Amino acid sequence: MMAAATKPAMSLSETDPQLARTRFNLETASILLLDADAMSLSIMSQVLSGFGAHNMVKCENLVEVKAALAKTEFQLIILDPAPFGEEGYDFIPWLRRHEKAPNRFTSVIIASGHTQASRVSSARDSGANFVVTKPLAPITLFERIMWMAREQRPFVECKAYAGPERRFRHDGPPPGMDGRRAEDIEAMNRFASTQTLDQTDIDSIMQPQKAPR
Amino acid sequence: MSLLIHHPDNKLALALRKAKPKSALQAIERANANLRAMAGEALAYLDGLLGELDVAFEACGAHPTDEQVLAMYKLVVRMIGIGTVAGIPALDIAARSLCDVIDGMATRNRFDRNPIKVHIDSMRLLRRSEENGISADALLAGLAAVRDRYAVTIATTPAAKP
Repeated sequence: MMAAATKPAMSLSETDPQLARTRFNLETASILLLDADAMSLSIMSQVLSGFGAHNMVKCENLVEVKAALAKTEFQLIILDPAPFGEEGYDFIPWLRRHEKAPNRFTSVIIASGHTQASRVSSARDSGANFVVTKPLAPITLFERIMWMAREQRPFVECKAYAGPERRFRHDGPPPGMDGRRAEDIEAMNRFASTQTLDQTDIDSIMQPQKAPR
Repeated sequence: MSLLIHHPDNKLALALRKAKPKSALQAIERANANLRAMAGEALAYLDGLLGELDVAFEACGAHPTDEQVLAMYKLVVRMIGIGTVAGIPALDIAARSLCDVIDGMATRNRFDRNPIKVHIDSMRLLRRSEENGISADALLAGLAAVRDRYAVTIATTPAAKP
């Protein structure tokens, strides 16, 4: 089975002419934010406010989040599970399996400053649509939201996992290009030598692709 | 349990289509401007967190409990992202490095005060780097070397297959 999603675009810059033509407004979206830190919540809400959002529910703990989910239908959830430990990482699987539709299918972004080594697999298998690292630049969040709005991945549910399909259709390199496999290998080598995860590495862990045939 | 496949509506896409179209470029500029306006508040908040970190570190002593180490980790992880908004992105890098160090110690169940102290002292210097003329790059290079000695190597199990 191949999902009908495509790989996220390469990073945009704020001078990209494509950006000048893009239209974007979150004014009708209801957004749920969860972060144990009040300032981080405020930072996130200021970014989203710049994007036009004004229906935001800000929560500093999981009890508040579950209460909000029972009352409101959200189009986007952004959370940092790290400060909540195991409970934080268990939240998305709970949402995907136990919460009633439509919130169980809501797009979820994990926005985390750090992931404990023992929790990397939990984050990857949680059922989030994306993991992004703090500090979060507005353009990065914009890119991720746009990508999620365009994706058509189905949700899959089985014993080991519930969430967006993690396989992607690979449409091959852009016309006129030979592809980027050599760059992929370079990135893997870099990861092997430095043992650090940047955003690209995290994306590749979250969304493994089939190699082009 | 067998494999179930759902094809829900993309509610985020529907919300974006329903809204009055506005320039993405301007939206990003507004978001950046909102963050710039928070710089002073973020800096004051960071000072508060650095103070709390001093207290948490002193409370740990030489043989902290798992809960004390975890409390210190949770405090440091809260700092990441605020430094950039406060205009000191190097503080975010230092905080992430300290998270790696604390996580490495917790994983190995071996506590050592020195690498934590050097991070906290460096964060204090970075906080005042404009006034004291300290090179953030040099400090961060030193912290990276410390981090490399204590951080754990991330080894993940294969992804669960639906």
